[in-house]
Amino acid sequence: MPPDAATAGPPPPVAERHLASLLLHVRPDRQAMVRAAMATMPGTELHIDQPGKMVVTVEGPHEGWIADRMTALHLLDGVFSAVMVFHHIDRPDDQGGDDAPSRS
Amino acid sequence: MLDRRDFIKAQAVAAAAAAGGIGLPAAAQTSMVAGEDTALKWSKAPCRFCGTGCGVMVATKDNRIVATHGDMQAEVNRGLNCVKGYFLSKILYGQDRLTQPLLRLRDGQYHKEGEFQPVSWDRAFDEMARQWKRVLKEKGPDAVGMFGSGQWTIWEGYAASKLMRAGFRTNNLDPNARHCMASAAVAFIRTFGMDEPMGCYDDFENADAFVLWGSNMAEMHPILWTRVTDRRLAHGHVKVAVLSTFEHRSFELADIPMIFEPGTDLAILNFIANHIIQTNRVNKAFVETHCNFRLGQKDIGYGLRPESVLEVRAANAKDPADSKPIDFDAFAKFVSTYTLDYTAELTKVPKERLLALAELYADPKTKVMSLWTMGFNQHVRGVWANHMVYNIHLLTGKISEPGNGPFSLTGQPSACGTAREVGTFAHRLPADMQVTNPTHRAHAEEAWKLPKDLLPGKIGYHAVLMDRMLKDGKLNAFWIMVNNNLQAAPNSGNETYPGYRNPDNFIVVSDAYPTVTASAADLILPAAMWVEKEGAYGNAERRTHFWHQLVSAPGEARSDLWQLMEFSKRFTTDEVWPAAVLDANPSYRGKTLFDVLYRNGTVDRFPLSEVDAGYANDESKDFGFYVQKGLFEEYADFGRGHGHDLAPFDRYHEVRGLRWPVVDGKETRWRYREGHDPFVKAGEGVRFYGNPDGKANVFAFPYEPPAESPDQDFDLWLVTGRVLEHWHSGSMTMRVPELYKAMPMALVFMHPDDAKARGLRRGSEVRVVSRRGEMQTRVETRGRNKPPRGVVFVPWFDSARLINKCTLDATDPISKQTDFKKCAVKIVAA
Amino acid sequence: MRPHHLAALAVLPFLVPAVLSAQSAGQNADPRRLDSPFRPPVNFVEQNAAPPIPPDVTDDRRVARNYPEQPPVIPHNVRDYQITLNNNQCLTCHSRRFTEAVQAPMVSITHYVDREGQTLGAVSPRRYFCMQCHVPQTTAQPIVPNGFKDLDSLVSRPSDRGDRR
Repeated sequence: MPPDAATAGPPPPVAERHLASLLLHVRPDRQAMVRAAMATMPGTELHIDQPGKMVVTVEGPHEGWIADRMTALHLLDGVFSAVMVFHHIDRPDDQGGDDAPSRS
Repeated sequence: MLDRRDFIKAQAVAAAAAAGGIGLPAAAQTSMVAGEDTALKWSKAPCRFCGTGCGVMVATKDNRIVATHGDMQAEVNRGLNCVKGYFLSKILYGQDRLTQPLLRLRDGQYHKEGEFQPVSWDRAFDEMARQWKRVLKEKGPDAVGMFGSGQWTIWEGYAASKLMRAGFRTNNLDPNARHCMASAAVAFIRTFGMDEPMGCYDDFENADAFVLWGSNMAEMHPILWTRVTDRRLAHGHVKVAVLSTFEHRSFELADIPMIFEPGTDLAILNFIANHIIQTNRVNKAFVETHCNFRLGQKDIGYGLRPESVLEVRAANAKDPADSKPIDFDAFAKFVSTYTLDYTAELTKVPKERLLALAELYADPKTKVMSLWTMGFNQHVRGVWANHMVYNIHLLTGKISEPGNGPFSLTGQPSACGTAREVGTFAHRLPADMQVTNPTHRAHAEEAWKLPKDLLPGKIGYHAVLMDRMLKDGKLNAFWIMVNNNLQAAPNSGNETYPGYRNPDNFIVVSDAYPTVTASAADLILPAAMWVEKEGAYGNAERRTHFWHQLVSAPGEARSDLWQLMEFSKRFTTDEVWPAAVLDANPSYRGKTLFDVLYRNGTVDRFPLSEVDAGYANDESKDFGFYVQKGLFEEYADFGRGHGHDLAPFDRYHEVRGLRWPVVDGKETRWRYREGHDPFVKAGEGVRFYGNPDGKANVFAFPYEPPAESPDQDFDLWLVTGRVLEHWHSGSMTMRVPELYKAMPMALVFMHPDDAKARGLRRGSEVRVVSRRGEMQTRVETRGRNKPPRGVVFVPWFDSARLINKCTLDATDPISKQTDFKKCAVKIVAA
Repeated sequence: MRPHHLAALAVLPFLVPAVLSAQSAGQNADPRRLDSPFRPPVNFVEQNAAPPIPPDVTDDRRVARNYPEQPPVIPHNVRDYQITLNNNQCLTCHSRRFTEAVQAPMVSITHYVDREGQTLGAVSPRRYFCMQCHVPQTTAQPIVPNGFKDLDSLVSRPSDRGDRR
């Protein structure tokens, strides 16, 4: 399989917006620190915060950006895992773009 | 208008919360999004399609499914689905859903040759009951029957079994799973004394080698294939062997690819056993402690009609299942004729590949998982093939431990859970019990609170025999549920259709969509499907998985469970039970079958208040008690304490399924192995406790040829099967536009040289002709399936191109499962 | 007399061409038409002529998804694409390294997560066989329309809101 490093990519060809939701498993005693670190990351938003688990959305211009955020979150002290559950791409310049409402 | 961005974000959060098992507080939902309108409800369910049993999350809104995705928490698939699974959202919404009962009428009266017209449920059941009573009165219980399915939910199959066996007193009940894995089920019981695999899907992450015996997992079990692929690509030492009669997508991953002559897999299996013995790699300690050896009957015929010349000629067609004990040396001598030279010549497989395959089994350091489905099971020697793969695992002791095991895959979502465990076969009762065993029947009568000697001990008609008996006018009232047998049954033009249209017969079809089978019925009952009812399935790794009713069925469509139970109200015991039974048990007189089967104090013991308030449950509301829970708990008691232990009902609504036996709340991943299986005592190591002596049976069987092979007139092998995009007869997937457009018609896949030799090329219109019938299609020479010369492949999903008009109704004589993989055809320009 | 139910009537415009073609092809067509509620050419006794194999859609235009979790369909030809143990032709355009040169959409980064939930530097091996989830489309037109409604049409259509309240 060709290697496919998920870091620093070329600028995307079209003005895409990416949105992903992540499920984090976190050590409850470090949750406050994780919350603080997250506040410093642009485009990252905390939605659900309960002992041991957090649901976060990440928005950015391309996949690599999302992957970088995900890695950064994963590497935070106290985070056991950061799993992507949902990934959505908006391409405003596409006619009937990738995720436009179905007209079926 | 709502901001679309916020909405997508809310959906993203909801999906992550669902994956994390986090309940979304209502307040949180409204604060995140621009209004209550966007609140989605995500619930778990198993996939509707194959026996893999993937978990899906289903989003509902306004009583409609609006999205589905792979369940991250489901062990089976961890967030993945195949293309069919990803389109589950749409299977309910084909615009020709049946929404009213349809009865053939002429001048306002039922008429066999009338036209379908909508009628009320009352009218439908009145006519149906009238026909049932007529047949019961004229001919007795042997003339009524039901053909069910491995797609029934567990409680539907259980309710059907009670209605047929105890209500109408006939074992003429068989599932379409007969066409699917009867050979596997029979061989499990003959080898281990208990049905179903000893291992589980966790074997995928532990094996060093995978051997696909005739299975095309890449298309038929795609999610399990992702686990094989994951293991193979991430671990360089892992080997994959793929055996088939034609090249298909699974060959993309094959280290050892192997195309063999149809039917000669039996010789390959015996060659491997011989190789293990000759190279002195038998696990002697294991074999001495845990195995018996038996010599099976040979020349057992082909399950055709008894007057067929092949049956008359066969020496042992009357007692195909017989066997006698032998010892290891006799077994070794028996397989010694399957030398490398002989096997290579018979199978046309290169010797080095045969040896490489045999070494995967013989090498004690290689943990090997054997996988099979229809290649073995739809085989005139399917039971033998299943036995023979157990042989090579038993000889080497590679069984019942992580990464080592023979694993029988299943094609239907509840082939195991409903057809096998509940026992909807013509010879079975719940928990592997048999109708022919008086003790087993007495046990069922007691559990069901029914009079002694009520249950019939005669084995009912199996699937293929049902069709023959309908045609011959001996089976006259017939109910078909959740299956499309006129499209699925072999030699359908001669052996299935005539029985449905026989003027003596009344045929009822319950389905969600107007299928080919429905078109040949006399009464069509509209069925609720999948998450339109509360359900339970059992997958191939013994995992029992529940779901809630998430949306309502359209129009007047009702679940099969409701139909079975409601129909039972139209019969009293006096009408259907023998006077002797009622004389001895007068308290049962005058009661309806509904009263004695479902209001028996057990099934109706859970009140409506126990139904989860967050979900609808149409059947329970109608009948006034928690129907599914009562049926499940009564059923589960058959197996508890006997190695078929199921958890309490409510637990299954909380988890992503559990693998039985579930003892003290813990599931079992590897049966028969100490430390994994609570029924194996300390110090025993391994115990095949399904058999009284705790040993498994190794059977000696020869290679025998198929029922029909190509000759001068019909010069090609016909193999039938499925494709990735469509599930079985396509009644659901052909109504999903994306799946339809991906694979809109059944083509005949053939070798370009075979096409050229007949003056054909890709796209030519042809007739596929056998001695029994024909169908018309187009030639595909460049597709995903690449048959060798002399073999053609045609899938059976296409209702406009019914390949089963061509197939042969030969079955395995022991399991009665049809061989859909081997008959002779010719291909001519149309 | 109404020979079939309303759902079938609703789809009748779609049925007519196919019924006609089935009739013209059927040589021993049964004079009693018993198949009225049935999707053509559902009719056991007639032999249906086979339409030509429809070509693949190859316009490279992205098709709207029904819901965000749906794998997009493939809008180009994939005939003879090699996916083997050593080579995956899909990834030669859709993997991250190559998307700039060929302007193909990059595989979703959900594909970088393995079975254990760990994010990898490359596409996860469990996602290796692309066509288990992503399928090309032919130009064939579905016989039975599908009434699935997506989220947006349920949520953000003002008329829908009005209907429900």
